[in-house]
Amino acid sequence: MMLRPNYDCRKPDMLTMEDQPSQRDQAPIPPSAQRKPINLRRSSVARPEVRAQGFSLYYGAKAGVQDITMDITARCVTAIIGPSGCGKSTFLRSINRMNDLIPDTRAEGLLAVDGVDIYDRRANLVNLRQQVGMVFQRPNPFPKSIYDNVAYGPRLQGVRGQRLDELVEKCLRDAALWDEVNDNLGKSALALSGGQQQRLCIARALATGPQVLLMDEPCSALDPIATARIEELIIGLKHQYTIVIVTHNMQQAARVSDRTAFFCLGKLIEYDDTKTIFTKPACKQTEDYVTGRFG
Amino acid sequence: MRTRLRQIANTLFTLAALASVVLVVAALVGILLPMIWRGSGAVAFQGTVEFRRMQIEQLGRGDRKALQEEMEQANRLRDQAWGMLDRFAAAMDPSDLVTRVRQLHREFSTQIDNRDLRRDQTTQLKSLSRSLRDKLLAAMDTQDTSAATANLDEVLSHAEDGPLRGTVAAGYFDAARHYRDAISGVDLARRDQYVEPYRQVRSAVEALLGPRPGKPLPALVMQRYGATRWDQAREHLANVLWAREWVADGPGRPLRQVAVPREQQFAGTELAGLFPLMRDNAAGMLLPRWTFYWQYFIDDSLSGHYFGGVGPEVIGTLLITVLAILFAMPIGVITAGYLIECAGDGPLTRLLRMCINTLAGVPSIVFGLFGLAFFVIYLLPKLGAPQGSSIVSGAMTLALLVLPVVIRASEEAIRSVPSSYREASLALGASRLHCFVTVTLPAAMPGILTGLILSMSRAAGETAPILFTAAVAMGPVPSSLLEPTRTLSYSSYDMAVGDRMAAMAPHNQYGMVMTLVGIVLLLNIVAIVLRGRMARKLRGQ
Repeated sequence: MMLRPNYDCRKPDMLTMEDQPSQRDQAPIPPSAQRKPINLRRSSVARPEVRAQGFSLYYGAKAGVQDITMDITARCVTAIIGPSGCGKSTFLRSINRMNDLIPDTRAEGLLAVDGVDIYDRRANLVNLRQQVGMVFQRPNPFPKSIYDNVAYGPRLQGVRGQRLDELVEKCLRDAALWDEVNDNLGKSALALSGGQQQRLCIARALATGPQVLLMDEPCSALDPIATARIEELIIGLKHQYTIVIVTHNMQQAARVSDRTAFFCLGKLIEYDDTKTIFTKPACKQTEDYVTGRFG
Repeated sequence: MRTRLRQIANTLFTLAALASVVLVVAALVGILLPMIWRGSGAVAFQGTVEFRRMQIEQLGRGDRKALQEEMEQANRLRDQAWGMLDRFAAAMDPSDLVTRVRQLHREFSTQIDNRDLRRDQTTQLKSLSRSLRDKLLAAMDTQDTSAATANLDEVLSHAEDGPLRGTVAAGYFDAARHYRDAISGVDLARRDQYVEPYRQVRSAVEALLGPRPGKPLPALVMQRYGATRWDQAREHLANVLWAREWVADGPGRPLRQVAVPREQQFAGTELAGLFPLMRDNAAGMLLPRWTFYWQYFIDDSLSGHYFGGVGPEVIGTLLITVLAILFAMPIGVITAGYLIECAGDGPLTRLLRMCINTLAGVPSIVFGLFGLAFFVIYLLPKLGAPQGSSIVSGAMTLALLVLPVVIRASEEAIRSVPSSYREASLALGASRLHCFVTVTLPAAMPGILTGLILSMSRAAGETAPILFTAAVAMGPVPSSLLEPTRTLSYSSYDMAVGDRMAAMAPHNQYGMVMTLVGIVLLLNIVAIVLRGRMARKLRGQ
């Protein structure tokens, strides 16, 4: 089932996106009708920021994820858990089309961010990726100074001078790194510790002003203390950003997330409030996984 | 048993690795050290007073007053030697005197013709002059000392004659006295035997001390000075002191060359005294002193490469090399970027890669001929440049030569940039071009730079590509990039095959090669240091 919006999503600037309700408040359409706007209900309480409908992604002939249908709510933390190779990272990377880097990938179904089908041929990748930030499994700061790392995204948008300085400071503060590095922003980012590097990567992702923040096992390369700081940070950030986090650590999912999705073998098995998933899951498979009997 | 075998194999491997390391080091030391040792002779050597004279007269460098003092000191000894040679010359080879006597007679005849004299007086004077002249000539021609002396005495008996006093003809008596002195200690019978050895001694002494003061200066600068270096001086001194002769050991045997002391050759003559004088006072005549001629690297050469340095060659080499890299770098890096970031892995790309690899194996002379045909004859004249080889066409040819290496080094460097950098950049909304320029390229820079500088050192040493496109053996320092230039590689080649310069000034040949090796070594050291600094910066230290 392919659903494609017929409006040009290259135009909207992510900074003015909020002011353009006309693009989101489209009339509902039957699933069969292609090239028509999709209905993405807007509500002040639980507005879906990311919506997947029958979304599949193939590496060549092999399916990475299959037939995913889920709504990711704005301004809360959604955790994706599941055994290795279940497609959780694939799904996460689909949300800002990082899978495009792998040759021979093919997407089916609908995946919309903020009401815009991101797999549309006319979709603007640059805008999408500024709108959907990403933090990777291993800290990957550029071999540049701390300042240049954070300023990389804003510079692409043409931010310069005083405004850039302010933005860098704000992002470093948001990522709880400012107090540790403000004495020497010209220092190479690679001289920081692993936890600091990961927070720098978060600051760097925040600097483009995203609405959605994707985190691909952000703590798997860090020690417990650094992990705790990142988790605090995630909880602090969720009031401003929609956060999707992939994790192997069930306690982490339970600690930081509001909603949890359980993936297995490329399929979405269960998606509910975190409390429900960890206490009384509807599915036997989920229960086995969260209690440690499987996976 | 298995473990034992493995241990043996392991030990063998270690030994082989060690042996190869030792071999490589030995090869390096064996090639580089002698080159540097011999080449350093062009810069640090025992320079003689002739060297200092050459420096002042040709390059205006040095202390004129000190040189004058030194020359006076040296000339005191030299004059003895020159005096011996001149006296011997007068006896051995009176042709100068003969000419003078004939000239005197002619002048005297003209004089008395112009004087207002009676006819019989004129005839008398003329016949007297003629008879004196003939006697002198006979004395100079004969090989019998007593006959010569008799003739000379007869001539001198007219010395007090009235009519000749105060006229040009008085010169007859000077010549007679001079010749009588000259032959007093010489066996005239052996005169013919001395002619050739004397000529050899004379030219050897001139090579050692420079041309006889007072004679007109030779046209070639290299012939205006004696031995400028003490090592050269010792060779010339050996030529003065020893004659080489061929002796036959017997019928059917090959001839053998032996060194015969000149002293023995000239035994019994006055000249025999010259050789002990030269042997004992060579240092006093030349005043050798340790000299550090660092200007070798910046001086222009004089008289071929006989004197002077390799300044224009160094400039030309650096110019051509740097320009070649400036041409090769953008093309190479862009190609590498394209091959990795955009090209994918189609049949066309594979063909492209194969072409690049093949290009790397093409002999350099082929590049040289291509450069001649394309850049020198076709492209540059079409763009309005004067036809003929030029620095630009040489640099472009060299750029083509190193391009495959640059491409491959850049490709490797770009490929080794962690993909996480690329992902991070793209995830922040950078376009692929922007990502490549701002993240991938800076991170790959140390590797690219190393490849570039290694190709630079290769380009610096290449001769064949610039043979027809940029290099000349002689010529001024170029004033524009559209002129040909001298380069170290080509000049060493030219010196080796071109003329006798390599044999006459071997130190300059070695010095040139050492300079080239030095430049290449320097470039490599720069590459290592730069790479280290960049890598440290990238690692954040």
